Amino acid sequence: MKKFALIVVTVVASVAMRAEAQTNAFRITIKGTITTETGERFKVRNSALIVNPGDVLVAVVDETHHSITLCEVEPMSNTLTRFIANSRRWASAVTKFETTLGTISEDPEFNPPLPPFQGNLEFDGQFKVKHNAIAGLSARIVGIWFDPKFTGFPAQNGNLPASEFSGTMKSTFPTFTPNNF
Amino acid sequence: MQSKRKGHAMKKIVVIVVTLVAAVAVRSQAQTNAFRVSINGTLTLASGEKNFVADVAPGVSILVTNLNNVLVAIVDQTHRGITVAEVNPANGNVVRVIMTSVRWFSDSKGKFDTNLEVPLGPPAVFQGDLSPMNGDLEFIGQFKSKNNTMTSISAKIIGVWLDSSFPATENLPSAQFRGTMKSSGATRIPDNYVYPNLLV
Repeated sequence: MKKFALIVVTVVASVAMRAEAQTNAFRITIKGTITTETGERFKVRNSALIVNPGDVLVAVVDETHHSITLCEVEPMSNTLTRFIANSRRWASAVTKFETTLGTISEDPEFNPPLPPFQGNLEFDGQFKVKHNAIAGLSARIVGIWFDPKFTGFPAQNGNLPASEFSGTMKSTFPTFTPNNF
Repeated sequence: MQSKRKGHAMKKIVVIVVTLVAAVAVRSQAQTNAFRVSINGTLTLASGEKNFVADVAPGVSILVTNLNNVLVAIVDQTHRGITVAEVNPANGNVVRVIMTSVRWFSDSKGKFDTNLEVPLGPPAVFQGDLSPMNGDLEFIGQFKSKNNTMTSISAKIIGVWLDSSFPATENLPSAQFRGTMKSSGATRIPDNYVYPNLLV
């Protein structure tokens, strides 16, 4: 009986915490260009950022923790496949937001020829609000895609040139927060 | 006779060490430039209210704690970073580092892109009621050079000035910043300048 009560309490607590977390998730498209210090350019589209065919790009807006997380999600099971970037700093003013996204733990690799992401990107954005809820978001993105001096970076990529990114992010429609977020 | 030889060898070693140290010092010095700068722009607080970041007098930044001090951007090409610091011009020393690069990109045409952050610890505080800073600002800019010497620096700045989810700022409204940095002339590298490595 005690065990059962404990399970119920744990489940209720986790549901309550999740509800309190106020997260919104959106399918997004990211478009832009990576320019390396040697002048080489790479077009960036969703297809280049997703490593598992069939997965989608999702932005999870966490109002409680003041952050946006970009991740790759398997849409059938709504399972987060991998993190791509997460807010390091955050400031919002009414419907406008400004956030710096960096890598979370490991530096995500992408489909060739895109360099891996090891930088900080500035998202200068806007929420679309409907009935007091976030219905969508968009942002202009500028910043550093790859900085080879970063000490945590795997040695095998240390010789890659530095690169910067300029582009946009747009939400296409709301989706559920990934189950394992 | 033997001690004379030893003395000779010792002198030689000293000369070699001094030469090496001097060479290293010249090399690192050669790749560092410093400029007096002004940073101007607009802070947008969480409520939508706007505050202005501007010089309080010609050449006197609102970001210095003592109006006799100057705002200096130290461009350290050796460490691939920019440090914005308050400098006492009388003794040429850094009084405090306000922010420094955590990521860096530059190309052969002098274009650069860098994220600057406040060193770890409490936020940087400023005069009056200007919001303190603990954020991350993106500087997208350009160096100009003449005869292989950097002569000026300018940048557009955009980013988070204050993130109120960080300790010690919970009761303050978050703030976004949009503005510019412009140099008004080269200056000497502060005597006590050490590159503040903020890689995180």
